[in-house]
Amino acid sequence: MRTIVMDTSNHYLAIALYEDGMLRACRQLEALKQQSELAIPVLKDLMDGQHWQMKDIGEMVVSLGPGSYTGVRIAMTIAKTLSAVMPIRLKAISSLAMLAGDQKAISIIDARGNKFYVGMYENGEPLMEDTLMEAEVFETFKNEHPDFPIVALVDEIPLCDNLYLLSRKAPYIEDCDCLVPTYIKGVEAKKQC
Amino acid sequence: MYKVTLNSVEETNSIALKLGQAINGHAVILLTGDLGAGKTTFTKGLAKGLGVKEIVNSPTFTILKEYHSGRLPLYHFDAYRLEDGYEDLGFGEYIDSDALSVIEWPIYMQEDIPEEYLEINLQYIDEQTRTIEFIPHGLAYETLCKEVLA
Repeated sequence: MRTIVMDTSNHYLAIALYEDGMLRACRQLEALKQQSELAIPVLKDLMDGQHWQMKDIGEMVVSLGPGSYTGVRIAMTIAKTLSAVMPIRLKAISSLAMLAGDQKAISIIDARGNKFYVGMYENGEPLMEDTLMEAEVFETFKNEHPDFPIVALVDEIPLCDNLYLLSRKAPYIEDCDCLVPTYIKGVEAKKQC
Repeated sequence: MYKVTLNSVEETNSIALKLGQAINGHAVILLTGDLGAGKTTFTKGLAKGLGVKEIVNSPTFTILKEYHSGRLPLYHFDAYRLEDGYEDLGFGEYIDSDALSVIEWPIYMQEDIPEEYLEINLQYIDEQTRTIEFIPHGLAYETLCKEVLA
């Protein structure tokens, strides 16, 4: 099974190709506001390097957010479009879960206005719902769980490896056309599909 | 709070230009006033002060126009058409960035307005005359007003 993994949900562009559990190619770079320009060319470059064609791809894994308004939509739109025109199945993983990987951790992503998106994970399972916290509330929360290291979005995190690993346990999306990003706000406008 | 009476288009342009020239990093300006009071005219002056080369006109239909030819990006919002409410359109990320964001009809975009900003209220007196109130919210904007108006 050949898999494309892609994350554009925050300020990185991370794309990787896996085959039956083995990493074939990967690229991860800081690309704030450039992900929409770079995503397809980088994907093509990686696939050409492996002599893969789109018809050989069986599945694609993307991050769900939370993150940047545009960023959470780029990888997902590419995935949804591919799945609409080819027999490629999709899986989508929380960006906060992606940061934690299979570690025990509290993962955080900077949300503007002195707030953080916060997730709490152990062995790839969420211990609470991904949420939005004011900075002061997060400080208290952090101190209540001293045994959980804090993980933020930094270069060292293998975004694609984490997404791929978590996707092995995740279900395929049944209705890809209805897949939407996670965009945690005070009041959410939910679309009915 | 500073109140100024302007007796010609040139005076309006001049004060807007000075203000635009004084802005060198992240800034948020709310422009209030009735239709025809001169909000977009004022924005043209701000843009010139920022070094923007493109023609600046009303974003009433487009809601947001971006100008990248100046010292800083200029994001010009007109929330008039958002009166009936809107889903999150991602404007907060523009407004928080290192740019000058100018917002007309901010009342229809309140969730995205930060805590600190400069409010500029324009009032139509007659064809040639306007009064402008500058109401800074936050120390940085108080300093900016002192610099430009005192």
